[in-house]
Amino acid sequence: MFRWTIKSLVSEPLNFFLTSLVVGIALLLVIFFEAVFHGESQKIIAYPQNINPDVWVMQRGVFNMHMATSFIWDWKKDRVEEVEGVADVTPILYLNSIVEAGSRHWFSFVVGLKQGNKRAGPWSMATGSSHPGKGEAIIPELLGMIANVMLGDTIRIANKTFTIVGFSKDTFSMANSIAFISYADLRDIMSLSGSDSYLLVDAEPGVDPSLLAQRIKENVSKVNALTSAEFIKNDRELALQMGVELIGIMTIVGTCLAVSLVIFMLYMFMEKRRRDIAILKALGFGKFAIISSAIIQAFCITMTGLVTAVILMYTADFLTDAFYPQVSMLITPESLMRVGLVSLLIAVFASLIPICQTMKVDPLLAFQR
Amino acid sequence: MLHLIYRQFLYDPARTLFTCLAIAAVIGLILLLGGFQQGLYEQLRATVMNRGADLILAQSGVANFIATRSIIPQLIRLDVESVEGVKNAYPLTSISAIYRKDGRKNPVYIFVYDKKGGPTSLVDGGHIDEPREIIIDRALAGIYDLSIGDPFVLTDFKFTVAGISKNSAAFFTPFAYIEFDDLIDFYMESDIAADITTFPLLSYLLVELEEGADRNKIAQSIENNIPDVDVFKPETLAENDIKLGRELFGPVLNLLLSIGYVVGLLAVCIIMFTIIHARKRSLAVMRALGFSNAGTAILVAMETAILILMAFPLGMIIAWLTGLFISWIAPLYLVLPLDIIILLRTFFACVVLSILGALLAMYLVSRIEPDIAFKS
Repeated sequence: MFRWTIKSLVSEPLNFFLTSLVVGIALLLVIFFEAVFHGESQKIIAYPQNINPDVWVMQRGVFNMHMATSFIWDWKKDRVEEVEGVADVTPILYLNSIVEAGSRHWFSFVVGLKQGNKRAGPWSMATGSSHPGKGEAIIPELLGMIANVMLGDTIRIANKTFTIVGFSKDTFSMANSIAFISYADLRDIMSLSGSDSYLLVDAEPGVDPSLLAQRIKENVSKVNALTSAEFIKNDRELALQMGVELIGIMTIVGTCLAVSLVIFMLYMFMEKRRRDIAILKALGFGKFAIISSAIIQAFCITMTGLVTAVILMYTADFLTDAFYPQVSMLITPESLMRVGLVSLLIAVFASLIPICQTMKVDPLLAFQR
Repeated sequence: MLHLIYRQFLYDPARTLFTCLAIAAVIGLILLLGGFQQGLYEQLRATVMNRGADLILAQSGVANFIATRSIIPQLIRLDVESVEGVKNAYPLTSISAIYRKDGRKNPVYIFVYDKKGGPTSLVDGGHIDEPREIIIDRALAGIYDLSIGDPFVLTDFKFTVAGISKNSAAFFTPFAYIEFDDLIDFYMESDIAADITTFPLLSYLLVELEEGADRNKIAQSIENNIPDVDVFKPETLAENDIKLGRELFGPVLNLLLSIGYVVGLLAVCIIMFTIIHARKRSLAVMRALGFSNAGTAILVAMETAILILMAFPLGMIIAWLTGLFISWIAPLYLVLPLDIIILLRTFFACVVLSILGALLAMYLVSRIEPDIAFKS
């Protein structure tokens, strides 16, 4: 029976291939969406991940950077420096704002760097200066390419114009690119007088960052202190949580589409094999064997579809890198596992109608001309 | 020929139904993806338009309403109200914050309003009557299981939920509304403000004009007299936000839509292939009876076109129901699959798919030998 099931399925290879391809593309929608969200989430944490101080100090009640606002008095930097185990404290200003480059607009993390502060600046440069002076900005290389701007051109952040003096690498993201300007400029934009946004704390060698964070919270009033790992985790979680519902919706939509296509194909397939099924029944094959056959066929189609989807996804990843560099994708094993489970569900649902179909086949059909 | 197609559909109604369903599912998917994109832009448009202003004033140099920082001096309000033709200028402030509860986190845009600019439609509760009350979007209420009277703690400041609003989200972010009286308390008592000067007390002014006043003239007059602000018609500001949305989400959404169209094309091709393959013998009989190659191909092509036409309304229903389902489980998103632009675009895509399907039909039919009809 199993042999018949497989043989009859591959007896029309083009049909089988096309069906798997369509199912594969339906599943691709699911993997694609999740990959984009994971890719973006990874890009969103690029700044804290690369700057990587031992401890982040911020306003109490704030736990992350993405879409957050944090202000702490600048004199608290001195208090933090006095805490035992602190080697160095680097203040930064930070604002979520729109950067206008060429005719394009981009959401950006705008980071204000103090004169001579190399600790919190761009970690990899494509070209130009890595430290912005007054009226100067460093933007992602990719943003420069998309907006068709070069060194010496100007961009706008809020209501101020800046000259591009450098292009940084690995700082572009659709949701939050990173632009660096001087501390004084960002302070003007934000109309600040005596506040920093975050303090990047480097610990003395051998000091446990979590203990240091605790010590800072105890010694400096109204601040929150988190280890770099916690801080990054919070940002990643926030970004991913924003996409959870969307990923769920796309999974449902992709699943329904795949189910309807597999049902159609299996229905047509079973219709053509009514006589074969009648013969099987006449030969004494039971319901279980015939139902199993329908399920195996649905399973084979969806699993081939899954493999097709994975191949297409890696191809799409390669192609987007080449032609759509602003879209970053990250394919995770968890997402592939989830789609694998979804494929199993598709196989089960899609086999229900062919099962009903086969149950109705009269064995007498085998003896009719 | 139409009669023949009609008989063919009735010969195996289940097959016709499943074929229609498969095509409808693909059409539904394309409508849904387009509707999702349209919904994102509509949310951005509504965010500005629902503020109910005749003109909106933003900080000079700021040309967007959402997700941008605008700070205008408070005293400007008096200057604006003194311009002839201006009836009132209502303050509006926007703050971005992260709401945390039970291990979950959500970004929230808080609109601080005074009489105008608040929520437009409430699904539960009422407007703010008491101090420290807040109106939250139903998406937030759903995610965190919040209802009227529940506490809503934002950066250590406790609000009480007074109302739950709908159609109050954009950029994947729900909105919350508080009144100006609570803003100072919020800044002072929560840990948000170490330095209160850093926080926007006034982001935008919503200008209400006197009846019959010339909007363009007054906009020009404000621009000329008050250099600290830029004046926008709400529709212009909304367009700017939509343009920003297109630039940010366009690449991903267009890529998704492209995948949707590829699925559609492949699905129609495969359906055509399967139908012709399954009816090879009956098509061969037609050829043996004297139907020309072209005649048989046209018959199959017409059948495909009719199937696609029949599937289109079904696809619309599927997309509409799925859109409702999405709004129910995830009210943060607005899906507009039946938007006229989306419908027309998808219909045009269906016509193209029919033509491609017909070309495939012609090719497949031309390969059928009439002698199959006489084989056992």
